Formats: sequence, C-alpha cells, structure tokens
Amino acid sequence: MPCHACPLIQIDPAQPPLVLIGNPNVGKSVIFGALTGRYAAVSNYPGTTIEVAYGTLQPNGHGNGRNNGHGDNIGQPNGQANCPVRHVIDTPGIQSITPFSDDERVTRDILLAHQPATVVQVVDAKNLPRGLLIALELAEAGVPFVLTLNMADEAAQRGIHVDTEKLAALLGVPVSSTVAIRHEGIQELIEQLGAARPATCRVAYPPAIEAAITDLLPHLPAAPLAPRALALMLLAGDDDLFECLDLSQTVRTLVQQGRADIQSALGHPAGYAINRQRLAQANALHALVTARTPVTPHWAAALGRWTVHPILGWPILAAVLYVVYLFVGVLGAGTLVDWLENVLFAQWINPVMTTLVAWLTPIPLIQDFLVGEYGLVTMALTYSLAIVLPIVGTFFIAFSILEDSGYLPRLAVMLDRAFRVMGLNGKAVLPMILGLGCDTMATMTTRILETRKERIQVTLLLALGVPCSAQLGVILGMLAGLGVGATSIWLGVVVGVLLLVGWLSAKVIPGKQSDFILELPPLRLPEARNIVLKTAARMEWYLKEAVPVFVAGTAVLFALDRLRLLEAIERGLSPLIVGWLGLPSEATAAFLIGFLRRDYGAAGLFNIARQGGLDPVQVVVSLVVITLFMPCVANLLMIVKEHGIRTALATSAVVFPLAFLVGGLLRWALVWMPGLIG
Amino acid sequence: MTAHAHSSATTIRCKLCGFAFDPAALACHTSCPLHQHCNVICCPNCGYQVVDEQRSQAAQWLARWWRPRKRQLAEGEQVALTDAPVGVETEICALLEDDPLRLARLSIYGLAPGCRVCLLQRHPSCIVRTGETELALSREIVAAIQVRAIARDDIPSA
Repeated sequence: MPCHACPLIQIDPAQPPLVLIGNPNVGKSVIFGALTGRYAAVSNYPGTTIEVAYGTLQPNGHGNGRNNGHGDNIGQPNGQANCPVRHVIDTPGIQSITPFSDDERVTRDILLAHQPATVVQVVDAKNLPRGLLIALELAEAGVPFVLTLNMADEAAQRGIHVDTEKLAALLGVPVSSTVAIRHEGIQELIEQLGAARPATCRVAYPPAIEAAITDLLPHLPAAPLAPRALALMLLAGDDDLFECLDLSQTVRTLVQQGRADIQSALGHPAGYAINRQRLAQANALHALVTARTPVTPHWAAALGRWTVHPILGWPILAAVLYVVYLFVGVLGAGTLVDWLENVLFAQWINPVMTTLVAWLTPIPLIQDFLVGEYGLVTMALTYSLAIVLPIVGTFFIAFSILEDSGYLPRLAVMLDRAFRVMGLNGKAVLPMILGLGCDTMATMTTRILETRKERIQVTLLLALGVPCSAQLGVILGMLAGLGVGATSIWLGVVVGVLLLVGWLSAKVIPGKQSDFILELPPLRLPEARNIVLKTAARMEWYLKEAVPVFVAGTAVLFALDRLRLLEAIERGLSPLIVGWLGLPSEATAAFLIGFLRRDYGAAGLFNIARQGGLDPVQVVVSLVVITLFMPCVANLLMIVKEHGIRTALATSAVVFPLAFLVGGLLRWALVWMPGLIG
Repeated sequence: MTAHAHSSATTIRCKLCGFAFDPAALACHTSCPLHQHCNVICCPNCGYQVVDEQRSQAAQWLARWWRPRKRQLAEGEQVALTDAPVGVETEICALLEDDPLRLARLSIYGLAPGCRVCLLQRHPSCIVRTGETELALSREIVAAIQVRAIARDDIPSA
C-alpha cells in the first residue's frame, strides 16, 4: 500500500486532521462516533474494524461525517458557515506503530501521509501499560497528541485508579478520562485538542541500540515522523519503509548492520530488544501513576470464566448456538423469508414489474432478462433481497450481539482444538460461523485472517462443507423426517470431509499458519444502539458488495439457458447422477440449479422426496452431495474477486469431484449397510 | 514417593510413612521370583507400593498426557508456563523462542522477562493473564515461556 504519496482524503493543509489511534477494543470507534456523529463499527473481536472511517469534527462533539474516502467535499458543519473543516480519521486497532500486520501498516501509512496530524490516542484505562507502549512510540515520533483513558468505569470496577494529572506531567501531553459509550468526558477531550503537543517523555535504550540509531539518523529523509522513530522502526523490522521512503542502499546496509550488532550485543533480535526496553519504561510509568484498591469481582468476570471453562463452556456454547439457530433459522429463514418471498415479491413486486416491463419494452429477450424465469428482478433481486437478506440481517444482529458482548473470542477459544485438526486455529471461527449465514459474505470475511494460506484454506472449507442458512433449513427439514441415524450420517460425513480436507490442505497449501494469540475482552452487556447501527452498516455493505454478485450470477444463468447450455450440462451430468450416485434423473436438474441458486437445489430435492421419488438412502446421499457442492455461483464469483481466477478454479477442481466421490462411496456403503439409517 | 533423580540411583522417601531408602538396594528385586518385570517399588518399612516410572511403559505414556501439576513453585524453581500452577502469579524469566516476529508480538502484550503472568487454564486452550489483559495462546507459545515464583519481597502486602 502506498505511504505518504497517497493521502486518503483531500485535507486542508491549514487544518491538519485528527487521527484516532489505539489498541483494539478500547472504544476508539465509539469516540470517533462521539466526535463526528458518524458511526463506525464497534467490536470486541480484535481486527474486525479494518476499514478506515472519516468524519468532520464538531466543536460540540456532534458532527456530520461521511465515509467516501475519495476527496469529495465533506461540507460545512451544521450552522457554522465558513468554519474550517477539521477531518477526523479512525484507524484500525493496533498493538504497535511499528507494523506487524496489515492493520498496523494502514495506521503507519496514515501517520506518514498526513503531516502534522494531531493524534488522539485512546487507551483502555485498565490496561494502561499496553497503551503506554504506543504512547512512547508516539513520543519518539514527535507527533503532537493527547491521550484519553477510556472505559474509566470498567477500571473503577476493578479498583484501578489512574492519576491523570501525574501521567500528563510525566508524558508531557494532555491526559483525560472518558466513558465514551455514555459520552462522559468527550467535551473535555475536545477542549484539550488545542493543547496537543509532542510528548517530552523519552525511552533510553541500551548502547548498542542507541549506536545503531545514531548511525542511521544522518541518512534518513524528512518525514512526518521524527527520524529517531523511523530509525527504530527500521531496526525493529519494518522493511516496507525502504520503499515507502525511497531509502538508499546505504541505509539498507546500515539497518542490516545495526540489527546484527544489536543481536550480537544483547542476544536478542532488535525488534524484541526495543520492545523490551519500551515495556520496562511503560511498566515503570504505570507503577508511578496507578493505585489499586481491593474490590468484589464483577459478575461478568465469573461468567467470562465459565464461558471458557473446559466443562461448563460446552453447554454454554451449545445454548448460545441453539438460540442463534432459533433466531436466524426459524425467525429469519422461516417467517421473514416466507413473507418476503411469497407475499411481498410473489404477490406484489414481481407481478407489477412484469406488467411494467411488458409495457416498457416489446422485446421478449429483454423481458425475459428482466422478469423471465432467470430474470434480474424475478430471480436475482428476489433471491438476494427476499431470501438472503432477511437471513443475513438476522444473522448480523445475532453476530453483533456475540461480538459486542465479548463472547466471540471465547467461541474461538472453545473451538481452537477442533480447528487445529484442520490446520487452522480458533481465529478462523469468525468466517466459518458467518458461512452458516451466507458463504458469499463469509468468503469476503476471510480478509481478516492474517496469512494467505489461512485465507485460502478457509475459503476452500467454506465452499466445501459449510451450508448456508438458505440451504440448511431445507436439509434439516428433510433429515428430520428420516430420524437420528440419517442426520448423524449426514453430519458425520460432512464434518469428516471438512476435517480431512482441512488437514490435507494444511499440508499442501504453501505458507505459514499465524500464531494463535487472541485477546479475551471482558464480557459486557451490548448497547442496543450499537447493535442496530452495526447491523445496518453491515447490511449496507451486503447490498453494495454481494447483491451485484448475485445479479452477475443470474446473468450467467440466463445466458446458459438462452444458449441451451443448461440442457446440455444436464444431459452430461445425468450418467454421474444416475449411475454413480444412484439417484433418479430428475435430481440432475436440482443439482444444477442448486449450484446456480443454492436454496433451489435443496428445495428441488425436497420436492422429489415429497413425491416419493427418493428412498432414505437416496435422500442422505443427495443431501451429502449438495452440502459438499460449491455453494452457489455467487460464491464462486466472490472467490474470483477475493483470491483470483486461479484459486477459484483450483477450489472448483477440488470441490466438485470430491462431492461426487464422497456421495458415490456413501451410496455404496449404505447399500451394503442400510440399517445405518434406521 | 518424592524422588530427587533417576530412580536407579535415587534415595526415595515413602509418601506414606516417610521412610527414606534406596530402591536399588531393595532385596525384593533380587530375591522375589517376579522381580524381572516388576515395575513397582515397595517401601521396606510399610510395604506401600508406587510405580517405577523408569521401568513402566504405561506410566511413561500416561505421564505425557496427565502430569501431576504443581500447586506452588519452590523459590528459584524455573518451569515452563504450561507446568506452572493455575491461578498463581509468576514472573517470566526467559522466552525460549527464536522467531523475531513472535517475540516482538509477545513483548507487545507484556510477555517479556521481568513481567508477571498468571496461567488461568490449560484446557480447552491455554489462557494467561498479564496485567489486566487475558490472552488465549497456543500451547506451543505458552510452553516457550519460562517462569519462576515471585520473590517474597516483591509480593505486595495486603
């Protein structure tokens, strides 16, 4: 990503932007919302807020921010004509300004792009040492900043009291205290912004590090960050800076030599040695300004321990997942979808649009393209808005509650061992759980995984064996009619294939697995306003990114039908479906349409079974195959968009043959042992 | 039995009666007709038997999965954090780790020599607390963190 050559928005040089910086889960986005009036995603799951949000500051703390990111004129604050616009930029949560992840690279680049930015560092008041690590980096960078200790109420609950005046004196910058979620302390923070200044506090490093810094300083160019900070970032391992700052070969040589000298003198890699010194200073500052009083442990602390308990954690997890199933699977996928599809679209929208299109154009091709069997309105929009939208909407509500309550990382802890069998770790739980809502959306969410290997692995597993809500409801309905044996076989085969393919893909796909280091935030009662706003923001995201993909998928379907290729594909697949899987020929259309529209596939099989066209063995075989099939054409197009055409082709090359192979083997096993179904 | 070294050259103290003896000198190992494959040690004082872990394959296999956990660390004793007592705050004395990126990440979270850490649980994942931060970590990472008991004068009085 380009650095200072690419400012993210057009900034008035006379009004440098405010940049919010802080660890994940410190309430930074809530403060952004309080300063600008614009909502940004608030999450307890570190790394979720990866987009950069922009707004304009209002002196009274209620702004009119817009997230366009393309230099549009943001506009004047309400009721204040000719008042200079002060932009506010919300950065992703970071652990360090020296970047170890994409989020941290974005933050570093924002600091390099905008000079002289004023920084508002948001710190979790009860985790002061971690915030002070970043504050010391900001001090070295010479950036003017203010520091706010947020979530002061949680710190008080734990008996932690920070002397903000003493901390301000030691750091040399204004320090305030806030409870952003209740808008407490925001006005004081705004009033302190004018007093932002570079910190006077400095870290004294061992002689080997100081010598390496001294050697580098004369060779470093002018930049928004002080040369000392740049030298430390280079020594700590930020190799992107060589290109960002267009550094000479001399500098590269000095950096390599400096790292070697530090390793030789201190016995540790340079980055680690630098962090250790900062940590020692941060701990010393913390000890000087913090007092603790004994308090009764909060109820949330006990509940938090139970949610990850080796025994109690499992029934809690089962209960949570069951409640989510009731909300998403029954209310969302049942009640809401029924009304939207069978009443709103079937009885109102589609008939009106059909009449309108027939009136507007006499050309049958255009009529069919818009409102025909595979029409834009009658299929693409009906599918994406009547079927998928209520499911992902209810799913996002449930997901937002899990995030804001702090339960999601605990889910990752409970499932980490299971994911390790598949060569992943618990952090992959996020996209996998989302896949139960919509695989297309979940494929997009693989962006949050740290390594390319993990992103491709999870994409493959999502495409292979995670049924979306639209499909899952129909599958479970069909299996319920056959009993526990059939359900167990379906579940066992799908989970077994996932574990096996996951394990194999971990061996085959090149690259590294990321470390499982996951912060567990305290459990909290979610704020209703945040849930509603976050769900609305995500549904907006779905409408902008996923719906066009569904439209494109339907266009492909329309073209295949017009060119009579659908019939040809059906004839070609028939021997495989009938001969190898042992299914009736009518099932071929269900599989084909299932790839093009997922719920239609399962529903098609359901209709055949209801008419007595499938015996129990055929039901189980067909459901296993349709579960393991590529989810839908929209998902395939999303894989192309996220990972490229080669990865999409490779995924298809694994998923399609494997689905048929497993289905055929299962068929033969059940033919030999029909008693397994019961 | 509390053993100080390998049992073949070790003085053992019986856990039941406290009698100290050398198992190598036991007469039962030579005079008993079953001594050839015997993998228990009998206290010559009270007859209490314990398994000789050096001679028992089953005991060695079980020890990999179910090791007796320490309830407290002796002063100066250094162990991997995975073997530290649960719920007891300890001090990090070393990180047995070569990966510079992992070292840097751990130090950012406050996991560095001189810092205090408390193992909260081992299953289903390892969870540690440093300061007010709770972290879930892979077992491999936790095993690389060497800890020792906090010296008495460093423990703040109530």
